[in-house]
Amino acid sequence: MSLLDRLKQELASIADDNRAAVEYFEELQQYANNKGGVVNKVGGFAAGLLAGILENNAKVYDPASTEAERSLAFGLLALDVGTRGGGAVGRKTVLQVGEKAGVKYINSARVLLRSAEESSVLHNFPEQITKKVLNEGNLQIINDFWKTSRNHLTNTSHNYSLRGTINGVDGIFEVFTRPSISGKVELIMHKFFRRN
Amino acid sequence: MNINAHGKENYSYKINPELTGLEKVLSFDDGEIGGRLIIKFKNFDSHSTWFASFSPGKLIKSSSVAVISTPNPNIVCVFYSGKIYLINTLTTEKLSYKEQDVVDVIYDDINNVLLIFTFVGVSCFDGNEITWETGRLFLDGFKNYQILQGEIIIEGLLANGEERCKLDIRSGKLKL
Repeated sequence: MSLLDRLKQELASIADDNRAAVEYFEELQQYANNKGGVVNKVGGFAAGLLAGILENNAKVYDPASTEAERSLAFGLLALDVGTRGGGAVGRKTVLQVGEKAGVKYINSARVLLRSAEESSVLHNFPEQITKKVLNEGNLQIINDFWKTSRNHLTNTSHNYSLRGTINGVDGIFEVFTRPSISGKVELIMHKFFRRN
Repeated sequence: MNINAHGKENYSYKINPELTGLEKVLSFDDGEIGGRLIIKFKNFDSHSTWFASFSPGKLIKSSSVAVISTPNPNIVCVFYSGKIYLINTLTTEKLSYKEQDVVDVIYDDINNVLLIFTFVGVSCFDGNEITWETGRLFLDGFKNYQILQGEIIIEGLLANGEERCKLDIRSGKLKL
């Protein structure tokens, strides 16, 4: 395989990972908009914005995109970064929790919705703890865990867990992810503090 | 006023009653910090009136309060901020049961059981004791449930990756 082909393959893989995230954020936007209410509408708008940024990102990377598509996407991406300034950093924090050995960890729509629905600390521990669990927690790999197939994603679950304490209560921090087919992105599907 | 499945009224209650400061209030708070809930109980068998104080759960901070009937006409279930207490209004004793992180409690008068849903599982109280507990059933909560012909049908992400299950209401066993 030539260097150019390898580069194309790599770019296609990055594009696939971004599209997987796009689908989740579009789903989140639809859910939030259907729920109604000002907060949900704003949430839906934000999720839509994120999906748009990622889609543009995917188009820029994807060697299969036409030149016109790539130019337009690149222009939109540049516009977004140019006009949002520091806001882009904030959005990145919501979207991407961390990165380890080339693997990006992204919050799924499910995790964001659960944290909004359940206001308790059980579903809303800080992202710093999430990073610690991903970096230092025990990893259990369960094949064929997910019963419904999703584009660009495997059916495997990576279950990270780390013992800890919240408000004096001992338990286990759980972060379960669903890796992409390329293995470069893990979508966080479950975040929960389970007391002993 | 509570009326149990047998139609017999054994106790009444009042949430946050007016206090003179002379009342003796029994504490069921386990030493936890937080806003106390005071309830006045009156048992019709013993003709006694008494007061109890309850503390909220440690990890779920909400102001949700519910006083729920159980299959036992003397035992009441107090649900306060993610924690439940099973209290005998006749003897003023608390049953040794410490379920926390409770999401929902329902008294099913058809099957005459009290079902306790936490974020991870379900327990069943028959009026005397906890007859079954599922252990870890859900990953982090459930979406919906209904009780139909002796079965509890639950939707949500289960710990085994499935999205729906049926439990036998008498045994708590999973039905395929």
